[in-house]
Amino acid sequence: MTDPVVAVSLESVIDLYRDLPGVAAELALGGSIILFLLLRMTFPKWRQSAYFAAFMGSLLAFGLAMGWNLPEAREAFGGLLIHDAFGQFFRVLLLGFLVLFVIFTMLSRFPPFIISTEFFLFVFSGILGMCLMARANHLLLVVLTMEMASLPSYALAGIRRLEPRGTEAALKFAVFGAVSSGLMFFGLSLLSALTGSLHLAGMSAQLSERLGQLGNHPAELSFLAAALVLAGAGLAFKLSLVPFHFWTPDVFEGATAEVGTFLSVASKLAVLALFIRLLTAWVAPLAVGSLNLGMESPGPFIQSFVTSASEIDMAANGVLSQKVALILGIVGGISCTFGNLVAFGQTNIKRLLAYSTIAHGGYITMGLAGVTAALGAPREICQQVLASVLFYAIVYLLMNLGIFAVATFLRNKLSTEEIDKYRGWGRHDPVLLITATVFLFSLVGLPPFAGFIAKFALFAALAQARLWWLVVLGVINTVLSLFYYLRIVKVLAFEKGDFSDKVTSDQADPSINIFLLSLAGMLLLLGVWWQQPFHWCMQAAQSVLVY
Amino acid sequence: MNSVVWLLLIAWLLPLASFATILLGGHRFSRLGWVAGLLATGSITASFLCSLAAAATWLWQNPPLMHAQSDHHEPLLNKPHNNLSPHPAAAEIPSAGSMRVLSGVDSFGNREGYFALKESDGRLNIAQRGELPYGTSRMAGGLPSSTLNRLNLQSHDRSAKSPPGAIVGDWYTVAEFGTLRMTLGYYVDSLTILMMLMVTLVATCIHVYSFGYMREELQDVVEDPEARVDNSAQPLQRPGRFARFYQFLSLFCFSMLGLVLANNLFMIFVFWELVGICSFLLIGFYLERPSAVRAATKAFVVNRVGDFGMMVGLAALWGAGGTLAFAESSKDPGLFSRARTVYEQAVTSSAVAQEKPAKVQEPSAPPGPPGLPHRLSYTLLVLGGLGVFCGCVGKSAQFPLHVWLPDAMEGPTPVSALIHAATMVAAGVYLVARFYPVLMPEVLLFVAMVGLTSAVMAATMALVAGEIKRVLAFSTVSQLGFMMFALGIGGWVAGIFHLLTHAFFKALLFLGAGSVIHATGTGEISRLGGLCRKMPWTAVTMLVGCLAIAGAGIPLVVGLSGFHSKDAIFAQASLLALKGSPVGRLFLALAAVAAFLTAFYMFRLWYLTFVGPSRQSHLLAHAHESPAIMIYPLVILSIFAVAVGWKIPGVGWGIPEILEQARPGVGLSGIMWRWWVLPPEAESHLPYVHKVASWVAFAAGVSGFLLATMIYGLRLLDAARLRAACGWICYVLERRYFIDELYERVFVRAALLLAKSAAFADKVLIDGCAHTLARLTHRAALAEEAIDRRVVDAGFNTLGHHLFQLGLLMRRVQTGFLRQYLMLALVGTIIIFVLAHLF
Amino acid sequence: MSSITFFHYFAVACFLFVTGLFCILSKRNVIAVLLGVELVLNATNLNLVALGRFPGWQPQLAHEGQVLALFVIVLAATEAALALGIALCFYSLHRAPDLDEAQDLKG
Repeated sequence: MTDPVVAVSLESVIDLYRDLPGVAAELALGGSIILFLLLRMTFPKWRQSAYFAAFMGSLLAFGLAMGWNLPEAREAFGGLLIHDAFGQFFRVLLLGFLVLFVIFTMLSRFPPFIISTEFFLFVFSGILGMCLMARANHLLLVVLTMEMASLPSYALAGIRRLEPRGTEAALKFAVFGAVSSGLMFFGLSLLSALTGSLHLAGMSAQLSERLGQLGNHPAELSFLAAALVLAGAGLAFKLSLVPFHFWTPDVFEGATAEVGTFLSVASKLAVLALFIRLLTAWVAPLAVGSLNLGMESPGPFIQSFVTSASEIDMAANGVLSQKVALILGIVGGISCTFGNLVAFGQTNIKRLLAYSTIAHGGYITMGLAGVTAALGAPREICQQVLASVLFYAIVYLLMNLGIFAVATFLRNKLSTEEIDKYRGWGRHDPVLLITATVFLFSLVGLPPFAGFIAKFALFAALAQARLWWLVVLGVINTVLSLFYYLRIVKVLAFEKGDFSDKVTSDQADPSINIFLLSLAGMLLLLGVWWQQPFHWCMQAAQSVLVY
Repeated sequence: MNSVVWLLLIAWLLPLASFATILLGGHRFSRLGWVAGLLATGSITASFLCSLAAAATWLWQNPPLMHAQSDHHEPLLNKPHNNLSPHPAAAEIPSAGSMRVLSGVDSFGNREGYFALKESDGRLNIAQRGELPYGTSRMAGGLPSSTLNRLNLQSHDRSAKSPPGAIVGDWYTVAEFGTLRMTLGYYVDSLTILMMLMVTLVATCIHVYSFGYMREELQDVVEDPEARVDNSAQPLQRPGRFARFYQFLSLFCFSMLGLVLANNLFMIFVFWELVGICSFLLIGFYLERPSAVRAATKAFVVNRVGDFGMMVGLAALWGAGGTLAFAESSKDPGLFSRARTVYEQAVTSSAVAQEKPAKVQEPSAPPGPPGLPHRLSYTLLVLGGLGVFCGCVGKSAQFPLHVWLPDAMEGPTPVSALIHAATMVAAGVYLVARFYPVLMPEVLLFVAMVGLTSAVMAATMALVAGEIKRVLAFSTVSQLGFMMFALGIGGWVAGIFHLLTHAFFKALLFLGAGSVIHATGTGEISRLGGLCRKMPWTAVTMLVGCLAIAGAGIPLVVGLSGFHSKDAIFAQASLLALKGSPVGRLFLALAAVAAFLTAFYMFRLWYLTFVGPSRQSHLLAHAHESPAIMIYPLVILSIFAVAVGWKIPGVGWGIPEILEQARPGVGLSGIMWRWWVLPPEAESHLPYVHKVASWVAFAAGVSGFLLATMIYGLRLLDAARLRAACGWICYVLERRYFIDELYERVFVRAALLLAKSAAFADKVLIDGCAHTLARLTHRAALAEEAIDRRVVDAGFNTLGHHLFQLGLLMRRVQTGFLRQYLMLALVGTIIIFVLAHLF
Repeated sequence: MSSITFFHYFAVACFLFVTGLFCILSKRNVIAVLLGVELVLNATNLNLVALGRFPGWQPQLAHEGQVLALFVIVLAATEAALALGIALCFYSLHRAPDLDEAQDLKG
């Protein structure tokens, strides 16, 4: 492990040269950002080309990311980044989302061109941070990318400066986010104090080394627990988990739907990547090392909640990881249930989608709980479980993008965000109705859409990790979520509404329909042809689970 | 196929083509009925010509033996036109080891006979058998060679093939179930040829005749005074149905010809039923008349009763023999040969048993396809024969199933002539004749008894019948009885001969009656009289017919056709009587009585209709001779009625000789059965037998004629007083021996009762069950719906409602206060920390 | 300086942390809340620098901890800038920097 602070030597320059192609996409993103800044400084008319520039830049970045041939995993930039399949997986997802997002904003005609450069500036900065977050290997980068991902989001939330709700949302977002980051960084510092390293690999090595001694110092265990909890606070904030979810409904309602899309999809994906990396780094050692807890067998609570199986060695190994799994499971379950229940009474579609996001964050966390529980198991099982979570992430991307797009277009056509005002619009706009149905059904998890496969894989993974109670909870929540998702379909399709005063020129826009249909088509396709994407997820999982 | 077969096939299918054309033409023919008539008549004429050509070809190929030539010996030849040498070398016979002649008494009876056994294919076959001529002396173990000479044994081989001279084949296989093959095929021998000729000729005459008789059907609107629809005084008006008449006639001709051609019982049965259908349709032609409809239904039902027996017989035969075909074809050995084999085996074993023990092999299984029973059971054969005869009883209106024929006169007169006189009712007789080799002696006895009974009974009933057609109907039953009787006592050729002649003169009589009805509008004898002045042609032709049926002629010399055929029957009956059997004498006496009655009532009819004062003068006044188109057939038929019994000049043979070719020769003459002897028909030509027969027949006929003339012609005796004298007899006869009432009470009412109880059961019990079940299901459905609504739905609604309320409750967490958010976040963190420690 | 160990710095850091939290939770003014956030971040910085002072097992930790502390300072500044900017917008619209005013979005 090289020290980046050591005087620059020729070696490091060569290292730099070797590592640069790995960040070519990020460099492209950075270049686009500079372009936006430049564009901003020139004539206002030139700002119109921001769309085009954004599209080009996103395509370029996506192409660079896809085209980069990944050798086997290695660290880059002196250990700050890690180039592996896992990071590549998330990079591709995020950059693909960026391309779709740019197209989406072009279709939804927000942002107006005056602020288009700022908008894209923030978007690209956020994506840049997220791409790096997926490959963070050092606490420095964790901190940096967390902030790089969050700060543009705060700005995006309040990009409509003259909108009172928007600014309120941005304010809540920013303050909450700041507090959470503070907590997280403190926790990180505690962890680094405990393990004596800022490098993730080093931290995990130290943890596994000192695992045996941890048992003798209960204070140290508490210290570790506190550190992990505090670190988790920041991650929970980004993932909208209870009890850090409070910003989500307000921000989604206050910000525009496009920003909601961005927040709900991209930041979640990035944080998921980070979460998994940190789990692998910090919790995995707790799973496989042998811990002298001073007791022969784990306590009754654990035994009652986590069923033992031959794959998961329950003896003295893995007790800590089981605890973590338990807590993750509880948090995920509560988020899920909370999100689903509170979504019942919503009238604003964006707020409803915010709670839906919270619920899905809960599902993802339940999956992570499964991963954690499976950390003590043979490598293949853990990889399978992780792959299911990653597959869920892919589908989640498409689903959420789709439904937010539907909400955006509805807002454009009907100038309202109240669900009640959408009554019967489905008759006038069948494509919207159909695609909305596809996305909603997918969110619920009904076959033959990809959402079903994803949920099924997730529950199967949980079953594999022997977390039956989470499976039950997940199924119950799926049933609960049926109500509010299908309510939208019902309102759109089966009720009668009067739209004589709406100009129908919007309806004739085919590109919106094409966009929606292609998203829906991708969901259907994934619903049937999921083997290959799942294979990619397996590859990604294999590359990250090295402990 | 043979050219004969081709011609017959065409002759058969032409009426079908005509039927199909008229059928498909449909309403187009309702205007142009005469076109349909022409079509049908043309096709039947063409059919006749084809049959004629086929007959000519056949007779050219197989000229029948002249009377003197044929020895009436059995066996006859495989092919009738070859190596029959009248006097085979006698030296061959005794010395050649090929034959052994045994004499003796066989186990059946006490008459003497001989058996010529021949060894072939490792089996002992009976090559020839028969009665020993009278005066033969017997030697133990053998016969003198002189006797053998006289016997004229044939030395040629006789294998178990079809009766000589028949062309057998299959046209089309309808279905094949294992060994049972249902085919449409042909069995052509001289019987077939003659039947085809007769049917087509008579049918042609009747087709032509109907042009005149059914003329009023050509109108668009026909008034039917006898049909009352709704008790109104107005006669019914209905559209004319000329085309339909000819359509049915064509269909009938097709069916009858098919029946004649058939080579297996399946095909016979199919066309049997088809003929029955046509009869039904034609009897009920005036379908608005309730009497006609009743008569048609009665005819069909009574026929059905007979057919039931026929089906039982068919089943027995198939069960016994595994086949329904008559004669051997490539696939199955046929019933004839198998039946013969059974009989021969029975006789062989018994005959050989009396001989010195000799090396006799048990007859091995007859050749044939595997799966067929090896030995036909004798009982099943008898059963089968009886069953088939049951069908014949129904079809030919013999006692006790004769009740339908008198009522069938409701149909138009041409129908009566064609179907119920000449052809359809003859089908029963024809089937008995065709099926002869399978009918065992028991069955034949039964046939004879039934025939004789019908003959006498029907003749008595005809005495008091009051309508022309009724008289003729009873006469038909009586004559058919004669034919059955003849067949039953072994006179195969006699029976068929009489069938052919009867067809002509009965058709003639019916057409004449139709002429009378057409002219006067009624057939009641009590209203007719003295018509010969106004209708000379009709009178003369009917006289010819009456003479024919009475058997007029110079005994032993020549006579009308009926004379010759009746002669043949009496010859066989006399042979039977002369053999000394008491039963035979009784039969002869009864036959004579029936012949006497026949002559009597026929001339009664003729006298009362054509001669003497008319009973209703205005009918006589309006009567007129029928148009030419109706007279021509009468003339033609009368020519045939006169001449059909004669030999064809120049070639020396006639119908009996032709029929000889087809006689099922081997096997069944000389059968002895206790007191029942079937004499071989050949011996009926013996002079002294012939003499007795002729004089008996002549006496019966003449006496009948004289009595009728005295009473009705010359009015020397008063008919009314005679009737009053034997009042109660006449009453019974008029009521037809109360058989109709008996059937009504016993069968019809029982059937109706059964139907009523079945209807009751269906309506009350079964429908009741169904309704109750439906009601219960309905109630269960209602209950289930209530449960679903109240319990299940309510449960879910409540659950959903509560969840919704919970969600609304939890919504209140989001207060909008940022500080509260932060506080809750920190509290949550602490809780998680605590939880982590707790576990 | 043997009596001052890492844990003394750590204690101070914790004290700062708690103070910061208290500040966040109890103030109604946006800017005061942000001050609390700064305090928390500074607690982190103190920890990190203390780590550098007492590296313990890893000698390199000294430098890395300080570098991370520098970055955290920068990020804190950025965050503060952004948050203040948003607060300014909020103030211009709502006429009060009171966090409790931000109640439109709820439910």
